[in-house]
Amino acid sequence: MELIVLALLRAGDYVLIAVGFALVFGSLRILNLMHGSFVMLGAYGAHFFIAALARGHAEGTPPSITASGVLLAALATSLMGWAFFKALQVTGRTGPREVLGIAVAGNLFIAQILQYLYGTEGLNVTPILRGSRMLWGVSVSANDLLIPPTALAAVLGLWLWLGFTRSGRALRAVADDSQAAKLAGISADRALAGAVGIAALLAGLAGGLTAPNQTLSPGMWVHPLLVSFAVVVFGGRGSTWGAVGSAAFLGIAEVVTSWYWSEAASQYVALLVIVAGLVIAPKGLAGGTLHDVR
Amino acid sequence: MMFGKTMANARLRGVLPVAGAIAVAVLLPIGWGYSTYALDLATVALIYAMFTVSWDLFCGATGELSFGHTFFVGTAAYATALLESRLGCPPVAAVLSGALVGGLAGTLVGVLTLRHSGAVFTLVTMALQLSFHRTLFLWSNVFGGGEGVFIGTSWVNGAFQRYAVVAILSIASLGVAVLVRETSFGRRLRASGGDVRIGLACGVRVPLVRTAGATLSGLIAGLGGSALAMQSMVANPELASDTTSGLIFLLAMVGGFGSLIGPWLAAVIYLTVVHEGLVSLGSAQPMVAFGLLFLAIWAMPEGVTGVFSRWARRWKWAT
Repeated sequence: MELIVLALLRAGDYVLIAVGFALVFGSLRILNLMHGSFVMLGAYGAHFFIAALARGHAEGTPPSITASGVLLAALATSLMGWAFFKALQVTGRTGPREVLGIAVAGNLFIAQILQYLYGTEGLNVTPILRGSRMLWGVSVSANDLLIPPTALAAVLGLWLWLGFTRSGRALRAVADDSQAAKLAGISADRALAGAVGIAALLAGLAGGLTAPNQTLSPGMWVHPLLVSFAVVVFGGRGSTWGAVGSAAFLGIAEVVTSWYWSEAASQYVALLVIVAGLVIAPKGLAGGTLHDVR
Repeated sequence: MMFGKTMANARLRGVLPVAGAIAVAVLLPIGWGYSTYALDLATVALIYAMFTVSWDLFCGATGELSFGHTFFVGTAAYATALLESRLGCPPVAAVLSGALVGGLAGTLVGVLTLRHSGAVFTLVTMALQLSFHRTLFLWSNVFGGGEGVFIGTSWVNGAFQRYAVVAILSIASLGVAVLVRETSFGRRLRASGGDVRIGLACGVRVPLVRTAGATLSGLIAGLGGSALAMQSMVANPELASDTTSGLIFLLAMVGGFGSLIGPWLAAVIYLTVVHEGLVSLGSAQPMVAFGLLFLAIWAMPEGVTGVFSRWARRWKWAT
């Protein structure tokens, strides 16, 4: 039972992280290497905003303050992601190699800024909900219980947005055929920058919600990026549901590995999925192709 | 007549960078009066130049962006340190074996990424580097964890002698890279980075050529990694870290993707001038240094040599 609960929580976390990455990948056909930094910014942002908002309170920060801190951090991350991509568009740096180079430089620069501001020592973030609750007879931290519903809401929201709103349909049109979309009067640039903003919002939310479970460090952008990439490799190329399925699978696989083997071994699961996935099935298990991806 | 001129140009293109590199390497420590500090600094800078030039040898030709170059550097450095300290291997033999291990790591990357290019290549190289970096901490009884593996005896005695050996190796690496670029192998390597189907149709054995290119790149990077471990007498996780990987990547890009001499010079100038010049900033130094690299890459995605050659073309056009 404990295994199932842990797997569920991990899967929710990974869905939240990876679904935005898959969205950007599906629409822009680029692997957004800044995605891990968005998660990191969400976590550090949560620390910053909670500390700023809680200044007036002497003892114990109420959930309303921590929750708004996490939300503000996610919004700020989203704004940063949108502004970053907009700046790339304005300066005409949208070629595949240019984006890749600037993103790698950006990751390292952000990591160094955070290291300068907060040091390499681990930082702790106050959880939104304190204490632990029982879920099917298993004691789980209350804050973690927020993750699966948030992930579910994010996926549903994304699905509804892509399917039923004007801007969501515009993004799908751009993803299908940007030339035709432009002829139909859709601003491709605006749609794509919007997609990056939404991906950054979800990544920031994931960072803020999972921040209490870990100590923050400037190198923490790497793991979410690898998780997102493994998810895309494993099957979520193009479809939101594919990404959800493979993110859940990856989370479960990691928990099972650490349960039956060791915590150390579970750290290799995402890496193994990436390398094995690309070597054995370069076209992806769920079809789709990385051929035209740069 | 035309043909002769082109041949002369090609020869000049090969000789000029190497001659320039020799001049830079000799002049480098003069500013500090050939003190031990200056010699050590110049040695490290010349080793980093080996990293960037080997990065550019493969990536510049094929158009890929590797984010895992410290996979070669790190495996070679640890192999050297382990061979020397645990198995009592003679230091010079340990360095050469380390370089071979780096070459094998290159072969592995070549084989694993045969069918992948672009961002997928970048992420696979990153995944390999991270796997190795993580292994260093997980198997800390073998790899010494955060401390690393210490080396007992150096391969070359004396700061000046080490500097001289490394300068020769670094210039030779640049020479090999330039030579490779001008040979038919270099042309086939470039072809393998273009349209694979056309390359295959023209008789280029793309998988073989790519793997050979990655192996050569790993060999040179490995030699540099082993030399760096010997220089600091320790192989530590920093040599295999993603920050070092990113630094190699950024220096090569800022120097000028595919130009070989650009990345070589960028590493030398960055470590001696920029890095040293910013030391007074204290803990803000890495942030400012990476900030400068970030701005540089945004402003000049084609690198310094790319900007220069654009100016040169425009000037030629105008006159």
